[in-house]
Amino acid sequence: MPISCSQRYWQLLRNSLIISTLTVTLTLIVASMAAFAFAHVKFYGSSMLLSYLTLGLLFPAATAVLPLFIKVRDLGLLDTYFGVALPQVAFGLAMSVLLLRRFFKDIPHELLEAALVDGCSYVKFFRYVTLPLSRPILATVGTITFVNSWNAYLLPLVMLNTDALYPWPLGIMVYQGEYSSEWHLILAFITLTILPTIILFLIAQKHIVAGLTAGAVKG
Amino acid sequence: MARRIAIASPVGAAGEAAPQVAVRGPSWDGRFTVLILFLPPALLLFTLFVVLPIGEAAWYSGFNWNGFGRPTNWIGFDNYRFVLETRAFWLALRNNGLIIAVSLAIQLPLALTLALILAERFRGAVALRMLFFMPYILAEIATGLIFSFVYDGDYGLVASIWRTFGAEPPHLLASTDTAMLAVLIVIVWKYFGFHMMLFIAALQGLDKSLVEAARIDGATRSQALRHVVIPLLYPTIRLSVFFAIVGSLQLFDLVMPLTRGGPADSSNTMVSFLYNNGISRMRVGYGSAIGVILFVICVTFAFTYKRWFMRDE
Amino acid sequence: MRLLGKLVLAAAACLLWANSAAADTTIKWLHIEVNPAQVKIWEEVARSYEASHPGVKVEMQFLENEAYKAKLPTILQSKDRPHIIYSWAGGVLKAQVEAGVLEDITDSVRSGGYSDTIAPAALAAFTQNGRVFGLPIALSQVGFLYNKDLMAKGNVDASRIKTWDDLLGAVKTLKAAGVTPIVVGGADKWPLHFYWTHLAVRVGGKPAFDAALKGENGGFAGETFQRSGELFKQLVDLQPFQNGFLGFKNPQAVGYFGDGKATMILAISSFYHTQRALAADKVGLGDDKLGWFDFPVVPGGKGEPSDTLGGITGWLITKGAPKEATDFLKFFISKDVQARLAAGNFIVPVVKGGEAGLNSAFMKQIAANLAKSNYHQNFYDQSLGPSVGRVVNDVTAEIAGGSMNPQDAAKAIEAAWKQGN
Repeated sequence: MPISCSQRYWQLLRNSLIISTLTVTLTLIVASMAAFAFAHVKFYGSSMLLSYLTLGLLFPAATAVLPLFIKVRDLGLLDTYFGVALPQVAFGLAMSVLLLRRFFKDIPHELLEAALVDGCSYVKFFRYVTLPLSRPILATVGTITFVNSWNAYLLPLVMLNTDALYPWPLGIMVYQGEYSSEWHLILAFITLTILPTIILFLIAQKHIVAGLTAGAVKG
Repeated sequence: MARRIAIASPVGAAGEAAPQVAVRGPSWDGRFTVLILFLPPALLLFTLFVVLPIGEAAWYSGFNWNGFGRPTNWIGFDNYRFVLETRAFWLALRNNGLIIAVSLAIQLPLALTLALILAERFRGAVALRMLFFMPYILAEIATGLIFSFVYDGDYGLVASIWRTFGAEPPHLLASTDTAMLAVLIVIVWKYFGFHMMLFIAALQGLDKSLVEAARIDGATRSQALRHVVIPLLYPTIRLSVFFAIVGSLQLFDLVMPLTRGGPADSSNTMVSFLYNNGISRMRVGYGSAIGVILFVICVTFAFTYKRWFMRDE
Repeated sequence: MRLLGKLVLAAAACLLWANSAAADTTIKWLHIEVNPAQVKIWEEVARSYEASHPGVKVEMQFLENEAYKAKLPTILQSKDRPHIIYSWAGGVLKAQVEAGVLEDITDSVRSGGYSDTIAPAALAAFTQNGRVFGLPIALSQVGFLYNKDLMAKGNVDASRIKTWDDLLGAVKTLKAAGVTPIVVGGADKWPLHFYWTHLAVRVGGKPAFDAALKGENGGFAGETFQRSGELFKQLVDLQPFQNGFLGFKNPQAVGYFGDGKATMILAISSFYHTQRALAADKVGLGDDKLGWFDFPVVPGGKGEPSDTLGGITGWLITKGAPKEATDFLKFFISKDVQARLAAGNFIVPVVKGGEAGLNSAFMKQIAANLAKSNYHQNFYDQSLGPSVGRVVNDVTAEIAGGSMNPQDAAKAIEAAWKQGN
C-alpha cells in the first residue's frame, strides 16, 4: 500500500470517531433529559409534545436534505463536525427519547417521591438516581446511535467538503474513485475500515442486537 | 397507587387538564425547573433540524433556485410537474416498489424460516445467528463496495464463476437489465439478518406452553407451527414489513457505491434520484419537490399502515 | 457520566488539534488530475513558489472528477472553500459568477501586461461581462485515439476513416475480426455525450448551436439535434463498445484502452498520455502504437471539417481567497511552467511561447488543429450550465443504453433548457 494510505486511514478513523462521539454524547444528554421530563413530570401538553417528537420516526433525513443543507450553511456549520453531528442527533432523537422514557418510567416512583421529600431536587434525582440506574438502556441507545453515525454517508456527503474532515465512508468512496480498478488496494482499505466495526460488534453485540431488535420492537 | 401511575405515565392519561400538584413533596417549582431545563434542547434541535427543513422544503419547492442568495424566482407548482415528467422519477418509484416486493416475497420468508430454525437451542445456533446478523451492522458503503467487486465483470467473483463454465462473464452492474437485480440481491443479503433477529427475539418471548399444549392435543409439528406459532408472530411480522417498507424508502448508501443509480437511471431509488438530480446539481427547488413527494409517501404510508395493520399495537 | 465527560474532553481536544496547524497564509488548491507525472510538476511549481514567498503555503487537495462535479455546488457554499478550483469555463462558470462565489481578479491579471501573454480566446473563456475570474491552463480537442496494432489486426486503415459511415464500417469490420472496436466510460456519462455533441457540431455547425441557444428552429429539440441522436443510435445499434460499457468510469475506460483491449476511444487529446498512468502496467501504449484521427464528418452536414469540440480548461479564484492565491496562479500560468507542461505532453499551452515546449508530433498536431479551427465548441455539459449539461449527459447515456429514442432525448434537453434550472 502507498505510504500515504496509513496516514489517510488514521485521519478518516479519527474524523469518524469525533463525529460519532459528538453524536452519541449529545444524543444521550439531550434525549435522556427530555425522556426524564416526559417520564416523571406531568404537565399540560406533554403527550402532544411527545407525539410531536415521534414525528421524527415517520420520514428519513433525506427528504429534507436540501433545506437542511441551506440551514446548516446559514448557521455557519457547513464543513464542521457539528454540521454533521447536530442533524444526526436531531434525527435520532425520536427513537432515543422513546426508548429512554420507557425505561425511566419503570424506575419505581416511590424512589422519586422519597427523594423529593428528603429535599432532593428533580435535577439531582435525575443526575444521581435515574442515570446510574439506567446504564443498560444508555448503553443500548449509545451503541445504536454510534453504529448509525459511524456508518452514515448521506449527511457527511452533503455537509463536509474538506477531505481533512471526511469520515471513513466518504473517504473510502474518494479512495475508490482515485484507484478505480486497483481492487487489491480498495479491498485492503475496506478491510481496514470495517475492522473497527467488527471489533465493536464483537465487544458490544449484546447491546447492538438488543438495541436494534428489541429496541425496535418496543419503539 | 392509581395516582402514582397517572403521574408516571403522562402520555395517554385521559383528561389532561391543568397541572395537578402531585402528592406532598414535589412542588410545581421543581417540576417547572425540569421542564425549562430538560425539554428545550431536544425540542429545539428537533424543530431546527427536522421539522423546519420539511416546512422549508415545501416553501423552496415553489422556486427555481440554485441555492445562492435568497430564492426569488417563484414558479408555483412547476417543479412538481417537472419531477412528474421525469422518466427517471418513475423508474425510481418503480425500483422502490421492487425493493418492497422482494423484501416481502423473499426476504421475509427467508428470515422467518431461519429464525424458526435458529431459535432452537443447538450447538452453533448463536454463532450462526451472529453470522447472519453481521451484514446488517456492516456499513452500507462498505457492503456496496465489496459487492461492486464481487460483481465486477473482469476481476470479480461472479466473473470467475462464469469463466469456470467457459462463458463470457456479464457486467451485472453495467446493464440496464441486470443492475437493479444485482442491487436487490445485495439488499436481501444485507437485511435478512435483521429481520431474522426480530423474529428470534419474538420467538423467545413466546409462551412455550401454548405450543406444548397444542402438541399434547395431538397437533403435528407443522400444524402447531402453522396454527399456533405463526399467528402469535403476526405482530412481529407486521413490524418487520413496516421496517422493510420504511427501509426501502430511505435506501441510498447502498446504491451509491454499487451503481450510483445507473446505468441510465435504471437502479435509482427515490433518495438516490433526489441526490443525483437535486443535490449534486444544486437545484434546490426541484430537489425539495422530490423531498416533499417522498415525505408525503412516507407519512401517508406510516399512518395508513398504523391504522389498518397495527391497530392493536 | 464520568466516562461521558472524558469523551467530551477527548472530542474537544481532537477538534482543537485539527485547527492548530496553519502557516501564515495557506493557499488551498483543489484539483482533479489523476496523472501523477503531471501532479508532480505542479507540486514542484508549488514548492518553488513557497521557497520564494516565505510564509505562504500551497496545499493541494484532490477530488475525483465525477465527485468533484457533484460536490462543487456545495463546496462553493462553504466558508472554508478552496481558493483555487478547476474549471471547464462555459455555462457552469457563468452560473458561478452570477452566484457571486468567484473573485474578480481582473485588475491583478491586467497589471503589468500579464494578460497579454495569454491567448485571447482562452482568456475570454474565463471572462464574463468584461471581468476576469480565472486563468486558462490548456486547450484540448476531442477525437479518436486508436491502437495501431488492433486496427491492423482488424484490417482497417484508420487514415481512411473520414465520414461517419466510414466509422460505422470500421466498427463492423473490427467486430467481425473479433476485436473490441471502441471503449467508453459510460458510467460517467460525459464520455458518451461527446458522440452526440460532436455529431451536432458536424451536422449543424456553429449556426445550429447559436440558434438553439436562442430557441430558434425548435431549440435543442430541433432537427440538428434529433439527427445527431439518430446518427449516434446507428453506432450504438452496432454494439461497438466493450462489454459492460455503462458500468465503466472514464479512468477505467482509458486504462482499458491503455491495456490494449480496445481499438478506439473517443478521447480528449490529453488521454494520449493519461492512458499510460491508468493502464494496469503503468506503461500503456507507446507513441509507435498510437494513432489519432479527427471526428468523422457527416455528409451534408453544415459544420466545417475543421470545427473542433474540446475543452478550454483552467483555474478559478473563489470569493474571499487571499491575494496570494491569484499571485500564485499567475506564477503557475506562465511561459516557463506552460513550456514545461507542454514538454511533458500534458497540455496544449495557452500562454504565448509555451508551445515552444511541445515536442511530440501528436501534441503539435493537436495544437495545429486547434489553431486552424474557426469554431471550437466547448463541452456541452459545461457550456450549457450545470443542470442542463447534466441532462445532456443523462439522455445520451439513455440513448446508449437503449432506453430512450433520439427524438425524446432532444426534447428532454430542450425541456431542461427551457426550465433553465
